Amino acid sequence: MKETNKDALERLFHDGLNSLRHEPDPEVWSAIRSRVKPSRKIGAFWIWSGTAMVGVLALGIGIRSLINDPVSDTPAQKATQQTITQRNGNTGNPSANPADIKPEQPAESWSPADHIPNVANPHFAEPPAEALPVTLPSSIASPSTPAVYPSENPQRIASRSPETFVPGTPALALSGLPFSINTNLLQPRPEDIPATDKYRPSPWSLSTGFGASQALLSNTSILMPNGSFTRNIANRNWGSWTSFNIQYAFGTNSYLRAGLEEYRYGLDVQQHYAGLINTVEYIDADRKTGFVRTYDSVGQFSHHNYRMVTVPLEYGMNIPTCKNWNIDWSVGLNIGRIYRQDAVLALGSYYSQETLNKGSNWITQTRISLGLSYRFHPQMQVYGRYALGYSLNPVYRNELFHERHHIQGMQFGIRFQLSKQN
Amino acid sequence: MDTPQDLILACQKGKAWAQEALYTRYKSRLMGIAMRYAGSREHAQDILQEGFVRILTRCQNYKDKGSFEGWMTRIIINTAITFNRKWDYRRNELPEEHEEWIDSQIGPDHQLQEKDLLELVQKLPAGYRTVFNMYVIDGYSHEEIANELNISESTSKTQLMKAKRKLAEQLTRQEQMDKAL
Repeated sequence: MKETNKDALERLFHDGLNSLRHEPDPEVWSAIRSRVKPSRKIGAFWIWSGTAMVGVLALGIGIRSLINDPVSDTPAQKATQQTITQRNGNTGNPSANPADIKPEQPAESWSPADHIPNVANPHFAEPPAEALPVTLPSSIASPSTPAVYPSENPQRIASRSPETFVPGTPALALSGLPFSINTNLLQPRPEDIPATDKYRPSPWSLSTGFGASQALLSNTSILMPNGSFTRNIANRNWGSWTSFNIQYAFGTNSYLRAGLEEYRYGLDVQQHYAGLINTVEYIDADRKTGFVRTYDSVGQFSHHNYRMVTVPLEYGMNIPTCKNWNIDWSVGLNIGRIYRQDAVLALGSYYSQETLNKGSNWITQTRISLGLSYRFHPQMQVYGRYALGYSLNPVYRNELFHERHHIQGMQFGIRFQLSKQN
Repeated sequence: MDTPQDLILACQKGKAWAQEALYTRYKSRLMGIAMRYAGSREHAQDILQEGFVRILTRCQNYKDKGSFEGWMTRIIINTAITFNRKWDYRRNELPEEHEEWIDSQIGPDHQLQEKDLLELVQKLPAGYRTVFNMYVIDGYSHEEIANELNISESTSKTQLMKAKRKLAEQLTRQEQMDKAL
């Protein structure tokens, strides 16, 4: 009898709940879909080795170039260089011997034109809000959150980082970001984090990256392989990850210059390899290591003015081999001022939009950033930036819903650019 | 109409349409399992989300041994176990004599709706709920439960007893309230 009674309770619940069915909310599928992305296993060792080799090679060549081509940067020499530039029809060709040309007007007072740092590197003092790379791999962010800074994804930055095109002068140029500390404070809300996730990605990361470009013709440059390496700062409670970016690219970058005005436009096509290694479990233990190969097309148009007002416009198309694609574009306005010693204070505002084919997902974001940079050496610059923004991520699936995020990010670092005339 | 085998094959190839079709086909059933193991609907949705991501990312590992639905069910249950892992299954061992007490409290004439039963199960502490679900509804043996939860078989039995005692108390209380009305 006891046994019957005992079984009665079990049978009651077994029969009552065995075929229980419940309808989940539509958002559940959207969240699942956004997290299931094809990934490929890679030899992380080779990715790391390749990145390191590119970096070491770039450093070695760069240091050698620096030793062989010391660049003077006194105001008088600046004036001389400016004069040379003007006499050569704004081509920036330094082939004329500076000793043969006397400055027409000694640079007695400060003017914006003085801040064309040197003819080999006329774009060094760009407003940092646009020029500074942000190596925040969007692929690392929680899949349920929108990509961070769509117009500033690593592919885009890496393709753009060797901003060493020298108008009118075939030149080999190197650029690098030997050190950068970044933080992305865009985090999923606590209620969006599954309880099983013991770790969340740290918002802090350290980056290093190197690139090279070769200007071939008077108005065309070809980009050589670039590599970047990002390692986030993890602690006991945060997940850690490491990402690598290597790409080679071919493209054109052209300039139109008229006095202090400059129009730049370019189109790059590149193949991009990105690797990711998670050193601890984050969301999905099966994806500790991933590898994505993508094809990118990047275009940009911008108007630069050495009075520091720029209007950048760029588009990007990203076609990963996993049959997904996304198109993004952004438009912005930078307003800033050059102070003494090339200290630049710039305020930038951007609007960007990204469209993905997965789940009909549009990401729209606006952000405003404040940047400060200081050139303590003709070819080295320290910078800092703080960005604040708002992201709206409408997801059209079974029904419309929105994800809203506030964006905050900071970046501090040092970067260099070296160039050597052919 | 795609057969389950077609869906599984397509999912293993990473086809997005098949993943969605699979989810559409099994979501209610898997959500029902998650609801039993979770303390609330929100937690159940978290379990379903996490579990289905695992299903989609590991479906290549599924071999044709056993039913696919059974394989998915095990993943959802394992995910739920991970969710409820904070519970310390080893605490408050219950003396064996309580089994008699439980048995004497339960009558065979309970007529409860599905939602009432679910509510009773969801009110159980996570540890009791997990063991009760595994043993009573999903057919795990105490040995299997012990392996899954990393506890001893006797602890599993004790947890089951405690769960049943709680449920019996709730049922009795409800019965008394029904009679009073």
